[in-house]
Amino acid sequence: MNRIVTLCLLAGWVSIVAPVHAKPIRDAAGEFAAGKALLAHADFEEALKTFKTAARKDAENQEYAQQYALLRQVIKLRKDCPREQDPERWLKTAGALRAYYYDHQIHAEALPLDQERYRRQPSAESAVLLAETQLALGRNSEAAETLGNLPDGQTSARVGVLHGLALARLGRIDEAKKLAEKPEMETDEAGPLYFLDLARVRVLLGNARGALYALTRSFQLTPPSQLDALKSQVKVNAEFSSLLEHPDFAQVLKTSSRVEESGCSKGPSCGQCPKRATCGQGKAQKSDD
Amino acid sequence: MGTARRVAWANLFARAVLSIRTATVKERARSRQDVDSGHRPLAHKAHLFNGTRMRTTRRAIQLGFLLLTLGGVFVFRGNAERWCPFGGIEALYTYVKEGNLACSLAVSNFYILAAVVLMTLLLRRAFCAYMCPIGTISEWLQRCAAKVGVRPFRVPPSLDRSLSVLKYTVLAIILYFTYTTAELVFRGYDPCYALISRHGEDITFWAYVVAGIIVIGSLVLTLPFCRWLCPLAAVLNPVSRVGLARVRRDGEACLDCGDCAAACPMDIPVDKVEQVTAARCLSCLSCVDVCPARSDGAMTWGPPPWLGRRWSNGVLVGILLSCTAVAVMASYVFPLPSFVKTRGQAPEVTAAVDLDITGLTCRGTANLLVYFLERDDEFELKGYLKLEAWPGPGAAPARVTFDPSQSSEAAVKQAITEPYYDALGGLWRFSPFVIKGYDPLGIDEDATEEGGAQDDVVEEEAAEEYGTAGG
Ligand code: SF4
Repeated sequence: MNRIVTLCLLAGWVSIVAPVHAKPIRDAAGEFAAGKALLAHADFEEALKTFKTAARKDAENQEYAQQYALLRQVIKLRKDCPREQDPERWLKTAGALRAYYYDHQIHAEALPLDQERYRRQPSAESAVLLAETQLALGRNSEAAETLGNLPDGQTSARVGVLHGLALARLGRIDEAKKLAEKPEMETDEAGPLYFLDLARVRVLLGNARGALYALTRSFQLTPPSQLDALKSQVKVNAEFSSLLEHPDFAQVLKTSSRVEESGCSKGPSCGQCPKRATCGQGKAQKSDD
Repeated sequence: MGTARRVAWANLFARAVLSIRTATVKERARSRQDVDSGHRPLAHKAHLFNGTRMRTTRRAIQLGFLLLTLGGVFVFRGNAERWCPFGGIEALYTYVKEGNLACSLAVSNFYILAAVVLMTLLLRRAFCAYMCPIGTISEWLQRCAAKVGVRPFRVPPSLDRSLSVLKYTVLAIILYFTYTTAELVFRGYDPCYALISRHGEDITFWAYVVAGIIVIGSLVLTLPFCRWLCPLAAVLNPVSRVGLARVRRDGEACLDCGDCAAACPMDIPVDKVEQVTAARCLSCLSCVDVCPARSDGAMTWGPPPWLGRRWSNGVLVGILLSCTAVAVMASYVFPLPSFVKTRGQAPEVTAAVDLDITGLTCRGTANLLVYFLERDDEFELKGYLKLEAWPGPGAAPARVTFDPSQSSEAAVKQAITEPYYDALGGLWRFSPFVIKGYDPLGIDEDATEEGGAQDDVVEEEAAEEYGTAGG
């Protein structure tokens, strides 16, 4: 009897403890998602292993293989970057890493690169890159300082709007208004990112109509192949949550692009592509849309 | 192909052949009756292609080529556009200038164009009357209309001449836009492309509007597209004008019945000339077939006297078929690449690697392949580089020639497959190309170990090795 009771207790213990210790069996999609989660915490080596497992489990899935190949290259670039002696190559390597970090929202990894770039080449351009990362990390006063330190001759529309955004977040509304509300800057040349940041500032300044207008301009200046991704981002971005209830918001989301596709349109095939005659000539597939 | 479908095709073919044979037998009986009763066929009753001899052969050839086209398109689902001679004209400029062809065209277009030009030099516009599916459909539509009593409307000669100029305008417009954009810009409006592409993705509603106009026009007019609009006809006409073979009328043996002129689908006044030199002559031989004094030599067909004056119908058929066969064979025996791009001067010693690449589907993706080959990162291929490619579905062949003192086969494969950071665009670009037999990630080599048995492999090593497995 004792033996039976012991066996039952043992079986019960095994059934409770075993699943806790067993490695969860994930399918390829699960591995890939786990890899992305590891990436979000900047655990590159573990993410690489997980991507490799995903690619091995589903050899047909091009995305898994591509992400594995890309991360493998990124890991190597991360090692090479600090050792790079050639300033040109360093800039390119830093740009490549920054693009990857931004694609995966690992802004903290981009910060030292942007700081180093600004140290090497202090300019409006490098200040904007640094301020973008500082703003993405919520380091608003640092961003305001970075942009505020720029000499007058080096300011641009983008500098103004990012500086305004930093100040608005710091509650310095009047200063922000002065910097960001300059209609003469609102030309197409300013680009979609400028208008997106302008919309952000205007939300903070309580100018919902102005924000919706800026969003519309941003959508109009975004290439067709990237527009849906941008709209999805706007819909889930907390910064724009106050606009979601606005009666005109749905209409703004229907805005279509007014610019030509700059490279591969990533359509279902080349037959419909308006760029098929010049496809790949200096431009190619975009990695993240 | 399923048995049922094969049987259906066989039945269709048998019925078509049977209908030709029945028509021929009926025609012979009728002409025998005419002769017996002392009548000869009335000129005003003679209408399109109502000869009795060449007509049968011609219909069989037309049917054969139509079935070949439709079968190739709908049964074998092939790319019939690569066999269109006009595609060769559209592609010529870009190929000579840049060494590449628009998507869906191939070097076979040039071979078939050369064959058609040769046919035209020898036989005038026989291609139009015997092989072109549009000509066949147009002619047969009119025959169907005639069966239900719709008589073709004869266009006055002056209007006919004016309308004939249209095809040169069409040609000029097409070539201008095709050569300036390096793209087949009118493809979406082309009813022929709509058919052979099985309503391809870039086909617009207008292609069917044009198709409808041609169909309706063909019911009430004689070969309206071929006579007035066809851009290929505009190209062939100057060649046809100096074409060797021609119809001759012997004024002494001629009965002046006018049947020949009435039978001519191109409205050539055969009864008024000694020999037909009009570029638009199709060598259909309807005029010869209907001639009641044909046996007396009133109407003959053949080359100039120094080549024997008379050719049998078999020569015509032989030339048509052999030119086509040689063009088809040449495109397989000498498969010139449809995409060529070279960088730098070739060194004395070069090396080449032949690859089968998935994702290399058309000129656009071939340009993309060049983009990856000309990258400027750590996978850069230094020195001379030449890409010859045959883009197409599945694993498309490509040959990369390089300077072995500066590059290697493995480097070529890496350059093609590794992601590339585009500094100008600030983006990472993935390669859409997969090289057959090459595993750039080193994933397959340990894939047999289930569930990530290689997880403890030091990934750093993998990162440094950069996958040279396979290939
Ligand atoms: S002249 Fe030419 S096109 Fe006219 S019927 Fe004779 S062969 Fe045919």
